[in-house]
This record gives sequence, C-alpha cells and structure tokens, in this order.
Amino acid sequence: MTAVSFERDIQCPDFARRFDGFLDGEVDAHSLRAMAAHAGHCDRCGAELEQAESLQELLLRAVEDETDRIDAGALWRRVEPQLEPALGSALPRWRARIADWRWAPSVPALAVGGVLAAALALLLWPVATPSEPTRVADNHAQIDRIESSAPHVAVWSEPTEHTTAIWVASYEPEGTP
Amino acid sequence: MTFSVPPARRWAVPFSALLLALCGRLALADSEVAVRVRTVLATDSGSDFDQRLTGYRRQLRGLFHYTSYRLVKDEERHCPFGLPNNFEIPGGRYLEVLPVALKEDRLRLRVLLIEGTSPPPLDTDFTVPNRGNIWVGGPYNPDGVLLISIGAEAMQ
Repeated sequence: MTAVSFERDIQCPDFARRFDGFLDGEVDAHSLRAMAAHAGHCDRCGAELEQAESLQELLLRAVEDETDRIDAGALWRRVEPQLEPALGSALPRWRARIADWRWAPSVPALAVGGVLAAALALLLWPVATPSEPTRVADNHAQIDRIESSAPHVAVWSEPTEHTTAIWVASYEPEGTP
Repeated sequence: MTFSVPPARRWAVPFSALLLALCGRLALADSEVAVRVRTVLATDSGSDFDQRLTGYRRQLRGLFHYTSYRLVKDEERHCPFGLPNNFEIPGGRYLEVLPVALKEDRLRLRVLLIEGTSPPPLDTDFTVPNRGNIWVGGPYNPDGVLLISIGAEAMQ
C-alpha cells in the first residue's frame, strides 16, 4: 500500500538547505510537514535528522546538568545584602534627606511666596467685562469728525436708547431713514 | 550666632509687595479701555435672531430693518489709551480702534475701517457714554451685510 501524502514532495538538496531551520522550528507548518515526510521515507536524510536530534538532546542535557549544579540559594544570599532596602522603608529615608536640606526651614516662606504670586496673577490678569449688553439710558454718540471713501454715508439713532449707527456702503441700506 | 527677625518685620515685605501690586493694578486700570467689537451678519433671508444678541434686539430692530441677525465674531480687548488696536472683521477687513480719552464719563475713540489698500470707508472721531456702544453698518458680505458694534468701557 502506498502512503498518500497531501504535502508537496521535497528533494534532498532542498531538505539539506532548510535543515537548520527545521531543527530550530523556524520553517512554516507546511514545510515542516513536508520535511518530516521526506525524512520518513529518505534513509539518508532521515539518518542525518536522527543524528542531529541526538546531538541536540545531548547538548540540552549537558546544559541542564550544569544549571542544576548552580546553587541559586547561595548566590541569592550573596546578592541580597547588596540590594537597596525594600520600598516600604523609603519614607523614613526621604524624611531624613529632607531634614538634611538647608532650605527645608524656609518652606513657610515659599508657601507665602506662592500665595503672593497667585494673588499677583489674579490682580494683573486682564479682567473680562461682563458679557451683558450695554445698559446706558442715553447711548447717544457724539460724532466729531467723519470721513469716508464710500459713496453713501449716513448717521442716525434709534428712538429708545438713542444708540447711533454710522452707515458706510456703496448702496443705500433698506429702511434707512 | 543667630539673628531672629521680629514677626511683624517678617511679614512686612510680602504685604508691601501685595500692596504695591494692588496699587499698580489700580493705576493700570485707569489707563485702559475694554473695547468689544461684535460683528453681526444681517440678511433678509429667514427670520433667525441669534440668541447671543438678545440684549441688542431693541438696538438692532430700532436701527436696521433686516429680518435675520447672526453674530459672526465677538472680540474683546483691553486697549491702553493712545495705542491703536486692530480688530479683524470678516471679509479681509479690520477695524482700528484708538481710545483717546475719558472725560465726564464719556469715552473718545478714533475708529478707522480698513478694506485692503483702498482708501478707508470710514475714518471717524466720536464720543460714546462709558459702557455704551455705537454701530457701524454697511460692509458688504456675500451672504448679507455686516453690522459692527463697537462697545467701550473704561477699566475702573
């Protein structure tokens, strides 16, 4: 019975070229399956793969043996005393440092300075006038001089607050008195 | 050897600074005018009245006979006496306002309406009551006519 494979068959040179990637698992799934199939029916490539995998396993075991021999507990016991104290003890250290600062007693003066600066900013900041409309009983404007390049100039006032309007245009406005 | 400053003297400097700032502010206030320029687009299409112009309804209805009024620009600036200030008006125009003086609660202003490089359509000197305003109308706009309110208030 012939094995039926849906993977594209690859040849020995192609297998050899992509061998390292196959071992490291860096080839795509499709190629991985094709190479595994090739190694399964090609004695030479299969033997090469078997040899490489054995070597890889030996190396891995050797590394594991070496790391098992390392006494991590002893290493930590040597490193720990050289580390900074834990975060929980940071507050007392900062308090001690602040106490050492020469300007620390002048903090009240700085606070007063800050308040003064804020007061100055408020005083010197431009104050917006209320957005409410004009409430002037007699809003009449006194025109002292008027010059215009426009062909039509008119000045008139409305009857209630006597607000004045100056009209400058190249045409007569509708409703102009 | 240490010196102790009496508490009263310790606070003298900050309070003097505060007093000085207050006096400075008051002195500065007397030499400034809050000039507010509102530009309104008036048309005869529709009957919309911009709610932001509610306080000017009587003035607008009394002075002009348009059906629709919409505020298109509102700018306020604190202008020192003797220094001209330019207010941009839609349509590439600008209004140069120069506060001249405050006398008997009336503000004297010099106003120049400038359109490009052509001779100014308006160059005028007038007085308005303090906190009063005057309207300048007529500059053409593709959608209607621009009406410009120039309000002035001495900073006291």
